[in-house]
Amino acid sequence: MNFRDLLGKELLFFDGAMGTMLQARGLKPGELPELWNFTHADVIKEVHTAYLKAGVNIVKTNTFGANRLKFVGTDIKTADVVAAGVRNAKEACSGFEKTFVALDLGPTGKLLAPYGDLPFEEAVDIYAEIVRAGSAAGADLVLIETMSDTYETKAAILAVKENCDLPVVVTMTFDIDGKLLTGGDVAAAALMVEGLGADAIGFNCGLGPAQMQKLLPQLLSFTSLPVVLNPNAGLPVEREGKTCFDVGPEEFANLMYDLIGEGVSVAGGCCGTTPEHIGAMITKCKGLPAGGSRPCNITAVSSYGKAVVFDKAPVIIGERINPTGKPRLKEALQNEDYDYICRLGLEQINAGSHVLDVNVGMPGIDEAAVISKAVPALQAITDTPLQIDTSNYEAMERALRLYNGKPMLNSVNGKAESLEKVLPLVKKYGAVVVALCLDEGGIPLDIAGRVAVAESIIAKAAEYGIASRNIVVDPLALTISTGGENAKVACEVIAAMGKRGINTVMGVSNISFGLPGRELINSVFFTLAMQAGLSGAIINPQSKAMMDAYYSFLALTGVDDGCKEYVSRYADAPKISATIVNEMGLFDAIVKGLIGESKKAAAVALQSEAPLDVINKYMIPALDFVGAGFEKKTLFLPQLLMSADAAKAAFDVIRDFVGGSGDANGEKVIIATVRGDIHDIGKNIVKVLMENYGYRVIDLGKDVPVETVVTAAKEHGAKIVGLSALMTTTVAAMEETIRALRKEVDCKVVVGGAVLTEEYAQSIGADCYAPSAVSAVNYVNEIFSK
Amino acid sequence: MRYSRAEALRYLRAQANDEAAGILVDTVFLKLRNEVQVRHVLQKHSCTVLEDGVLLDCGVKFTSRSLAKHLEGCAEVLLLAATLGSKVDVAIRRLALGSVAEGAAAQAVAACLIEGYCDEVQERVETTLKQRPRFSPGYGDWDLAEQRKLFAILECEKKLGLTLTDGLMMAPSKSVTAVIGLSESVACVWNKCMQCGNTSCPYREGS
Repeated sequence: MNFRDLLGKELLFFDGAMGTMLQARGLKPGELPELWNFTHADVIKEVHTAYLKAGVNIVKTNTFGANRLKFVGTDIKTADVVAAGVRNAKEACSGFEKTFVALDLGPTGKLLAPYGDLPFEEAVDIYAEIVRAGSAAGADLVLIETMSDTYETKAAILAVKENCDLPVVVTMTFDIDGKLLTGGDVAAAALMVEGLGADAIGFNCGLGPAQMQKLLPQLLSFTSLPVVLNPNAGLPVEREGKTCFDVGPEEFANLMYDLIGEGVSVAGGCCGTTPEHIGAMITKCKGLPAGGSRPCNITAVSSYGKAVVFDKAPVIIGERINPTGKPRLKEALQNEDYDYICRLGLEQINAGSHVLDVNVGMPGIDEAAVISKAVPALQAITDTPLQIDTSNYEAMERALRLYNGKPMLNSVNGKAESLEKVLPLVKKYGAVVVALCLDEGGIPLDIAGRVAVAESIIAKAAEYGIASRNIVVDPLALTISTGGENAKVACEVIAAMGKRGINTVMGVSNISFGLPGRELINSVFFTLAMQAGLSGAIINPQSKAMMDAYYSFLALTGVDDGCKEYVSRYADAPKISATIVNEMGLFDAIVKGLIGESKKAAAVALQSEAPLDVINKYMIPALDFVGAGFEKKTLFLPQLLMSADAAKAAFDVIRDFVGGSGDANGEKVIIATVRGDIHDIGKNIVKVLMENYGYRVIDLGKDVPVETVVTAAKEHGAKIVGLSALMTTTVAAMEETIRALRKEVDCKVVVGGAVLTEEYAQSIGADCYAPSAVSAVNYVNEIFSK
Repeated sequence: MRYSRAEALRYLRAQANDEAAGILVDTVFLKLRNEVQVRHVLQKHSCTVLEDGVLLDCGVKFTSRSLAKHLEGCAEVLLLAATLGSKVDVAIRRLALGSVAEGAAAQAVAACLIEGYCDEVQERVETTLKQRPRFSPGYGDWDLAEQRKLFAILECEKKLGLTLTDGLMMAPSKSVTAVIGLSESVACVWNKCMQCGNTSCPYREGS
């Protein structure tokens, strides 16, 4: 009998804790329990047997932490540990009916990049090794458990799917507020896990049955999968410095009885539960019906932190990360300036975007390479979900794979090639995909033609196992300057899809292409489309007219309950004053660290003076003044930083004035936080200061390998390389980087970081020790004699 | 959540009376406070203080003369790990991207919050014994690599989602691990900086 045959059809029981059972049998804190698969195989089998006698169907192998990171520096082979774990469980199961061995995968113990230092693909590889060994040894299913990070969970599910055909159950650990350790909520996690093709989903560890009961309704509503619950024997309580679990077997059984009735398909236990707990539960609950699968019609995307549901209020998808017609963004993409891309994202989030469209396609760049850096860079600063927007299939797959959450993909269309290439990716990575109403015949001009294309895409997707709730149709807005019916057709397609229960999304501003006063047309068309039932709009959220239309529409249709959102947005809107009082000069504004004043002053100065003069006469002297004050200790770090922000704001005004490449001619300086070090605040301060002085800073980021620094220094012919390291443990990497630079490049090296001193810097071969950001800039100025 | 403007200003290396900096840290605190997901794990162990380190009842030995000196006269220790969670790291990066001043202030506020949280956790410990100041791997001669031992005993990865990078940095970064000695009396007034050899550290307390 196969696990999939029973899952969701009859109530099944998982076993309980292994770890706490082994501790009771002498496992020491800090000792690796997985090694007991060899050294204490009899004890492991005894624990399995105790649970089997209590009546469980599924035993978890003792392989929770059996990954190669744990065995570094030993000659222990992960595959052997895993095989022994499966073997012990299988041997224990023999003689018991209707039992299955679950290959147990726990967290790697590392936080994945960009939040920690384990690369995503390495995490996939670590799990893949365990999965291959476990399936070869004869596991019946895979249990991915105690996951507290969606990204690591994704790596594990991909590893299972790519290396075996076994069923996969995923249980994650939420806290009492329903949050993962990395901040995700139940909805965000459930959407991603189901999208990636898990067979069942649930909660384990962290909480007891009573606390899980509060989170269960959310899980049941956001997934159609069978639900699994493996709670602790109550919330852990600290007593006398020890962790205790207070819920006894009878109480556990009663609580689980109630929970199972709410729709659970598999029940078991985690920390603190014993064969007595599980036995009591089985006695009480055996024969109850399994919850099974439920219909779920929610269309939603997620990031690691939150879900965005296509519901009553249309979803705003910010369109500005797209290089078409944006010279500044093109320049940033060519220079791989991901900070600029992230700022574009933040501006749109602050303006009200719920999702960010990410399109980095332009001639002359490796789109797949750039998008695989842009997506993690954006996800390192925001939990706003992303819409991956590309027609390059390689870029599409790389971005979908690296994306942390349930992605939105723009787009597929009705052409055979697009369907064949895109739909398998949508299925594998669990995306919500935008379906464009066009095919080999082009864009049908009439409503029926477009609806027919949409229907054919939905039908084709169903063949790949993609539910229609994961498709949002783009009716395609064609400009009204070439066809008077175009707005009407788009709106009617929206309405027609709405009637079929299909969500829609549209790039709104195309409607006015070729016309003057585009915002006017766009905002009225946006209103019409929302009235027709548009579920998502790809727009510029920084357009006041568009967002005014949006918030007014929500207030008028009652979606904005009690006009709360509208009032909070417009009641206290500042009146624009006609006269500027107390106009401040640029020098003073920067010295005082006033961002708004600096911008205004820069704009005023540019009316009468050349951009270079504005920089040299006001900005540089102001920065020098503040820097000198900092060195003399008449000014302190906060003022220095506020001035840097003000100068940066003024500099941006000047850059926009000269049209994009304001610093392309500046001298190049390379900066990096060295390998192994993930602290970059100091480096980032240095970067901003240097940019304010007009240098072109090539920022290699943090945790930068030696070779990357050397290659960049050669490639850019940089005269100066700045290196940062925060910890004693990473100064060695700094020394190594300097040594490698010396061999191949003629450049000066300036170093900084908390643990460095003048002597230390000299001993590792640096040219200059910069105890502060100001001294680093002073040194660079000196070298370029500015 | 315990937030002290004065502490945040100290971490930011601002003057105590700097009004603008005060407003900056307060503003940043408001932006950070909803990103904080505090968690901790705490264990009590009996211990034997040796010449060159401390032997715990679970068989693990921390090797450090400074730690041994710090724990002189303690028959028990608390082992503590605490974190503000990874959303704070994301928020700090986000703030730094918009403004270096806010980025630096966020670092300072977060440092102040995690220290304050550790204080709170320690205050809740029911004991008649006195608690010595927190002592962490990397202080004095205590090798940072011993962080791994603390992580293994406390199961930081599993219990907190707190991890170590290859370079022995904690991720999420706004986290603390420490050993706290328990004794009848606090041997003398300790402050956490006094064991540290880096006398030029700008953050050094007292002196």
